[in-house]
Amino acid sequence: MNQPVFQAFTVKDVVFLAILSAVATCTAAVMALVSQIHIFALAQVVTALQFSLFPAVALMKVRKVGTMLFFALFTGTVELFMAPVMFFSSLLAGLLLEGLVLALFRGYGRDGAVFLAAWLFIPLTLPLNLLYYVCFAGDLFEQFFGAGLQLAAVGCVLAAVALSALGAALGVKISRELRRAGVLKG
Amino acid sequence: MTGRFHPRRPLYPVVSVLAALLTLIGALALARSIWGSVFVGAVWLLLCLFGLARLCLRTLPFLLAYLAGFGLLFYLASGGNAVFTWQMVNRLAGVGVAVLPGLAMAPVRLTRCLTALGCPRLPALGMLITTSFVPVLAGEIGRVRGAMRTRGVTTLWAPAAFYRALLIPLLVRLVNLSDTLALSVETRCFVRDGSSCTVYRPVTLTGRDVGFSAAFLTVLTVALCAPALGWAASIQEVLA
Repeated sequence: MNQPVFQAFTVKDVVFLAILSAVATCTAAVMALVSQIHIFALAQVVTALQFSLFPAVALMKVRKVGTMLFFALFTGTVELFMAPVMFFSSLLAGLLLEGLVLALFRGYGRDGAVFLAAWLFIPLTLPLNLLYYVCFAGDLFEQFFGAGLQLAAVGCVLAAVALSALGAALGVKISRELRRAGVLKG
Repeated sequence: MTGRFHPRRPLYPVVSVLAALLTLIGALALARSIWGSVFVGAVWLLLCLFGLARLCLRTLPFLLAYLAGFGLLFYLASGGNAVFTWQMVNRLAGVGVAVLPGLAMAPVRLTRCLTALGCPRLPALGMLITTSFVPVLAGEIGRVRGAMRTRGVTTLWAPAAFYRALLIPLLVRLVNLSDTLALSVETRCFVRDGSSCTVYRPVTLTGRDVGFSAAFLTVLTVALCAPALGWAASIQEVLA
């Protein structure tokens, strides 16, 4: 039976997404320690695993268009007070991912769509952050890409992408296990 | 999560959020001049005057230690460049002071305010749960760690132990918790449509909030317009 592409969210869905967002935000608190070390994408490296694993679990349970956007909004609520740039880039990344998944898979029905969305969430914030630094904080841009830091930035970008893929794969694996055990019901 | 920081008479939530955002934007925009320091200091004083004095004073030692630590780091990393260090400290101070209105705001007040303003109720509910779930999470992790110790698992460094003994049980607990919480919300007659709901203890804009907003905007405008008025003072001049 074909399910409609857009489905309404229930209270149960939103509560589950909010709890997983809280867990992801707490485990990403380590970002505060590295946020002042000006190497581009270093903050993404330390958050990539958490911000791909928990969205993957969330999407495996709540397979509805808009799930990623809710996740971005809830995690962004906490980020808003500490790093507004991260809030806006998370929200934009969430929006872009929803569009991408709709265009490619017409929803999160397939595990491939879940993996793609969870994997690309953190990597998509990279170009958005870069755009912000180029447009609004030129001196920070110089520090991020100053002498000797270009290689470190490239390394961090690659590490963030790889860790995101690992986290998303782990999230899908755990969710399948939980579903087999009867814990995670759609 | 931040209960001990909440003042007796908090600011209006929307004013708090906007003040945090504008503080950060102002500090970043003014970081290169002495006005960055003046602006951040003035905002800190304003927060003290408008009911957040206890919070400001309690967090001051941490803020100063944070600024001193990172200031030293930037000074050494830049080869003793005092101007650059001052600029970076301005930015960090902006971040530190911008956090204060958020710390002083109870999540439930933000939710009530958003509901009263007609925001969709589901996102508001999710935001409330996200911001107030941390103590519960800490308790759950403690319980899972206790269960691990009972079963003789003492280390988390082995990936298999981390995965099997911590991650899976924690996620199972979170799923169960979310089911219970959702049921609890539904049994309290939560409705997605905000038109038929009543806001318990409505949050209203008071004269104090208007006074704070006016004073804050005056400080921001003066700091931003200072160079145009001929009051420009660069960090280099001050250090010289």
